[in-house]
Amino acid sequence: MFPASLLVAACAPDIATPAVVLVSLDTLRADRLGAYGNPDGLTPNLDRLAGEAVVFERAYAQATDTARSHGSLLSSRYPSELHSGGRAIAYGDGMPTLAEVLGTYGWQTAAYVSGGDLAPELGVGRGFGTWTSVGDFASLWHSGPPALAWIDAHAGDAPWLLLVHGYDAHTPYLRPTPYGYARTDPAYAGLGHEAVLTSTERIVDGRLHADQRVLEDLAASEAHPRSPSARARLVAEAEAHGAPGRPLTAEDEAHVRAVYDGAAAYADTQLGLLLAGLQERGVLDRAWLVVFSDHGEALGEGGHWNHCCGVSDAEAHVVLMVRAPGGAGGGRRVPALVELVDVMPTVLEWAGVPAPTGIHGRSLGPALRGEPFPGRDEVYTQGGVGGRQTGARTATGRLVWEGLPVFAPLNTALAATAPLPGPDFTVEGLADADAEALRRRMVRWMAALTPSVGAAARPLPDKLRAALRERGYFGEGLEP
Amino acid sequence: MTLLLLLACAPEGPWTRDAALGPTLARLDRDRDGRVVAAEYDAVAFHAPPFAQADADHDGALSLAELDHLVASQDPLVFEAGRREPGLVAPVQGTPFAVGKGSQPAGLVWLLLREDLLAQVPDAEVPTVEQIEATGQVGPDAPESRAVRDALAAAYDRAGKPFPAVLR
Repeated sequence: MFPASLLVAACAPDIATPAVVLVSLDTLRADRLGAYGNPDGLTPNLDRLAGEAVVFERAYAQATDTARSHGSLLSSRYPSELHSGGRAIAYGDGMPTLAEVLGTYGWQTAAYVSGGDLAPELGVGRGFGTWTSVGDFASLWHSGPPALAWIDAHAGDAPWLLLVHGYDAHTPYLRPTPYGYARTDPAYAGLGHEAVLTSTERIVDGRLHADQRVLEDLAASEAHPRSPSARARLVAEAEAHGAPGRPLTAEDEAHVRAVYDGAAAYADTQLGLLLAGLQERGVLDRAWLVVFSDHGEALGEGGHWNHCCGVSDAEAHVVLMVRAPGGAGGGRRVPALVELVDVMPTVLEWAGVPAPTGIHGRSLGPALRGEPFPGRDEVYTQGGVGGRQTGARTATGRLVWEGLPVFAPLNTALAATAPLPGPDFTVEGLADADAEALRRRMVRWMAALTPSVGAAARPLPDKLRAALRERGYFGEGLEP
Repeated sequence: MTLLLLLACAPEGPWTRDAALGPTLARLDRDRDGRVVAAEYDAVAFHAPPFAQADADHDGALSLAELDHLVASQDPLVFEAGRREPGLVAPVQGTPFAVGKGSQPAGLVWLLLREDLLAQVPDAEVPTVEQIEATGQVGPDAPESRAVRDALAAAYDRAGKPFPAVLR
């Protein structure tokens, strides 16, 4: 047979005008895809795409909340460097975004996103010629059609970059017929049903709380209820307040997971419909396509639910597939560790544009060409605004630092001096010596980050704040 | 070499809306007889158009085009906002159904609604369990089934309780 790189070159169509489409499937766990080993047939379209794309089996998000994860991907910077002091993103003046760099070279750039953490007020879209939110916590159902219309209207002679985003797998999970109840246990009737019909955001530490506001009232400024470090204390406080919540049984949790699986299937269908629109316009023959999820979702692992503050595989392991124009060289799988910050230099390589200094990403180009690609020794994830965890994931294990809130400047010093093992470090799957070596690399990694600009948090519009609160985002960073 | 390259480059097929939705339709066809009938639709339907409406050409089966219309017509945000509508009942999925006999699960939804109303208004005049169960033998669109549904809806109306609009 032929070397993979030869096949890529032979199959690649002649492309006069480069184009790149980024599709973000918010909150989609990698392990729900058949292409990532799931046996349940939830994602036939993504699985088909895997046959036409290069699948990065071990891609990790740099943050487990939407704003910071997208901000990292679009700037190739780590979340600490983008911290505004609040929920918004603050790119520093010396941190050009992907859209800004491409714009400098004459590219048209547009994004059709689904509000919430990507609402324009959050600042993630700096540099895009168009950054349109189609509604808070909307779907590809909403963002796909205007994105296709943008292609029809604008994608002419100039090269272009398009981002399309949807919260299809996000809470509250229940999606329209026939997806919502397609995978639930027919005989089930219990507390999980109530959680799905009202708000899965009320699940904290395996208990369904009567009212999310109880948790909001209890949330101290430095401890988000979704943060693993805060859960036990919050539950204890809830009990002390006479509102302990009702414990979920295994069947309750299975029901919620089954409804989430329906949401994953819905996201898959919406992606398939978007790809049909791209195919109809000839875009799949000429454009690079990057399909990714910005973070996963904890569904009870270790008692943790939802996302934003943890760094476990449930939250940090993400989908990443890259399809070359025409699907050339597709079907290859890359087991190496990679980060979402690697997307930006990869796109710039396609564009023939030099990458700005200071970015942290490494081009995935060698892997796409079938060349030797060792990947990273470890990948880093920060638990997002309100979280306390920073994780370093290797091929075999993970080290989690849980000191101050992740953006606190003192974290580096404390992580360097805290005992290991100790109460602030969790070690998974690593021998003592390997954990200590990884700790040293983590500290160097933290110290090398450019301090965030520390700009004052932008006040959020009341409507957006209400939409975020509805989905469990409150506490640090959300207050005016 | 040319042939091998052509094979290597050959796509699986075009990305089309039918291709995107085909697996979903296939999954709905629980008995794998090639037709998605009312019972199979009702087994997963929630806050959705009734089968008679989704089956636009009224041939008794949901086609790919009809599924496409169904998916395209349901705004997820509107759905999300409406999922807490009082009285909405999750589909009863496990009930055996006789293909071609219509929607027995719909009858079971009516049973649940009957129980819900009696729990709130014990003396409500509602159809009997036997009347509701009998609808499973004739399908939801039969005159006797519609009479049961209307009687249940009227009982809700008299009690001042909301009856799910999608079931009227």
